[in-house]
Amino acid sequence: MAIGLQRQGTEPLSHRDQPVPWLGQRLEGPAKPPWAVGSAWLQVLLPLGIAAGLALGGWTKVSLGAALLTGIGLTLRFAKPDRYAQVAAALQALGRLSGRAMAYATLIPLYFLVITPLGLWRRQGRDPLHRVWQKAAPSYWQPHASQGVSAPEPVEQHRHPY
Amino acid sequence: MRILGISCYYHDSAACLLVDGVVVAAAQEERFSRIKADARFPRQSLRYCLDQAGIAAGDTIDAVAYYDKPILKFHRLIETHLAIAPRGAARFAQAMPSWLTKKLWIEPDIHSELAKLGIRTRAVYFCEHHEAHAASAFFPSPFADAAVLTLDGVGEWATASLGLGRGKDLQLLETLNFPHSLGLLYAAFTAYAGFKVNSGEYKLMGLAPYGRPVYCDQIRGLMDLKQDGSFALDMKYFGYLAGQQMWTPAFAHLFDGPPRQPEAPLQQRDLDLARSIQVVTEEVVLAMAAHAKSLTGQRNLCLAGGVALNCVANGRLLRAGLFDNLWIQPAAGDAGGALGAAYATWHTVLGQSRHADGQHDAMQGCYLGPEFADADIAAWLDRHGFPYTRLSPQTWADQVAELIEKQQVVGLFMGRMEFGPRALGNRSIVGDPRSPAMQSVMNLKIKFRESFRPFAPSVLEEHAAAYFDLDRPSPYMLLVADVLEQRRTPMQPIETYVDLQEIANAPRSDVPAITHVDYSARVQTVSKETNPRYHELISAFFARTGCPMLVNTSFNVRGEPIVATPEQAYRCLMRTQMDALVLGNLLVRRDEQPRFLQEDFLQGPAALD
Ligand SMILES: [Fe+2]
Repeated sequence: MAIGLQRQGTEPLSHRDQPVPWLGQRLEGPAKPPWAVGSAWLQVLLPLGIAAGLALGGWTKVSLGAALLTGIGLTLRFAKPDRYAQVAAALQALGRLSGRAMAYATLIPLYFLVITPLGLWRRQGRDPLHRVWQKAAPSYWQPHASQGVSAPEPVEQHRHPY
Repeated sequence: MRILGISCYYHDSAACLLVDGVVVAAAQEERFSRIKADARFPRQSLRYCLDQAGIAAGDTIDAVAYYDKPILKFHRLIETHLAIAPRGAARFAQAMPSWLTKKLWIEPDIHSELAKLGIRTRAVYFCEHHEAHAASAFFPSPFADAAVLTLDGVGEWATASLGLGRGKDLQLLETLNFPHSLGLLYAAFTAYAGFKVNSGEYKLMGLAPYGRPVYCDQIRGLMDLKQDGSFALDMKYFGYLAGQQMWTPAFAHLFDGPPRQPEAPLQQRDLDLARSIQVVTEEVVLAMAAHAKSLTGQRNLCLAGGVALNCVANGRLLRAGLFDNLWIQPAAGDAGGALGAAYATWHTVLGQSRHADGQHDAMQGCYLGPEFADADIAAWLDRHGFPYTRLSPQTWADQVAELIEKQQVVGLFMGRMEFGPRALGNRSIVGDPRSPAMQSVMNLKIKFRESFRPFAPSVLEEHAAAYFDLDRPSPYMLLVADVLEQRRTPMQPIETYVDLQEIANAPRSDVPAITHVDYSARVQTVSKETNPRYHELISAFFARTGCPMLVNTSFNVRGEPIVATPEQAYRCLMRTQMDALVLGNLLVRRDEQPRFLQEDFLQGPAALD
């Protein structure tokens, strides 16, 4: 089917479409060109610095590899920003994955070596989460912390994240 | 004085803005990001709120109010793991990174997000989670004095709270604490029935009338319920302390086997469990409300928290007559916490006075979201070459009513978007409630969702009593009322499992599309005062047909948030078998759109909810 012909005269919907502004919306100006974004230069200069350091330390081949990667990154960043965004997203996903793996690798031992013994010691003869039913008690409602003479003033209560 | 309220990082993040104690804007982040129940920092809704008040780069706002106390919540997390270790290691490792990198640092996050927009704030305040719910229930209510009851999964430690509001003062008196939670109990059954926690609760509630209350005694056995509605759960049946699963093998054993898998056919047991947990939930809510009454001596009750969205329980609470008046925060879930935090800051922290006239609430019909100009919408349609008709302000209602009378399904996108989970006429899909096939058509061809789910009526406030056993307005669709006896069509009582679609298609009254199998309906009353345009449309339909109501369902397909912008509304029109779309004063008909677009957009639903 000649979809291309049928499309004549209309602009297909896409995520790049200029959205309809809501009433009162302050529209942002046109996006900055890639070279005008400070973080882009940081992303270029950092690996270049590493490459220079490696070269100075005598790691010439590794340094050339780093410089090559920087060159590819630079080209993508400025010439093909869409493609660069895809690569960056993939690298970020990889970073998240490895971050999660590292978190598990450190937090699981911490859990068994610190939290577990501490927890076992603390709950000897105690029921910290009040899981045991109080059959004889008339109610499970607890007075709220704001009740009583020692409760702080409202401003003080609201100033802290605790 | 300008106060920004924020809720985020758990579920359904939102932002709202109070200017001199009046809410000028409120919106959930999901509407902008298109991620259902988006829990991330509400960057886009915050920006919308600032735009709405004309706050621009270089401005300073007076305060930001956050809807919970993260360090108390973190304390609960640590205490829980200390109480259950060595179990729960995986959950600990999964939860901790986001706590250490994000959730504990909300104050610097708020400053830096505002700084990106060139905005500064003089102060950041923190509200307790249930205090925010209670504030969202009491401060915008019409009552000068009221008892307040909040119920949800869990906040910091509290899972329910009772309070007393008097004028500008609101005090929480008592709390019920984690792990004993009505919200989590209901969520466990939601998960067990194969639905998603935090979104499937409505489905379980909608399923309840199809079942029998045969599991009530087993459910009551899971808890030690006191006369005052407080209770403790038997935690050997619940898995949410240690793992990702809400229930344990003991739970499955008690309820006759493994849980229903998502999307598997519904069995009699699933229906019976839905009915049984609904009955027990109502018992607990009623007992708690009775306790609130005896504790405060008030005639008015305000409700908030996720459980307050259980409109069947709300209807039962109203009919029980414990309180003369009941007001439920329409954004009762965590999104409404942003509003509550802002209100608590205005009245409790800053000590500003409050006026309540006993009649009108301060929610402005919940129409607090973005609005779009016809000229901008038309320019967008023109740019793409999408055909449309300009409606005349005099005849638009009759033109649209005519389409609905001809059994067309129409999307309404007009005025400001609603805040909270309900579409109340401005982002709604509407149809003819007299049609016996309408429920199935709208469920299967438009919403792509389960056929058993009932739809709500939007009825002219002045005619509601002619159809429903309801003696007061229900503008936010938060009360369930019975269809009057004389409107009903007799049905065979449901004894055992039969095909749900067959039942859904059976005529039950002279407005079958909105009558549930138990002859109930989740009523929205529409007043001229709150939404004149929607009122005008229903009035035009009434003039044509003698029926003063429309079927109203939210403008979205399954798995997607409600549409927020004209583009999203257009996409939804083209993706479904909806017939027409009202975009302000413009009418877009699906059959007039370019053929290739109909093919482009004709996809299935997004991710299942
Ligand atoms: Fe909550």
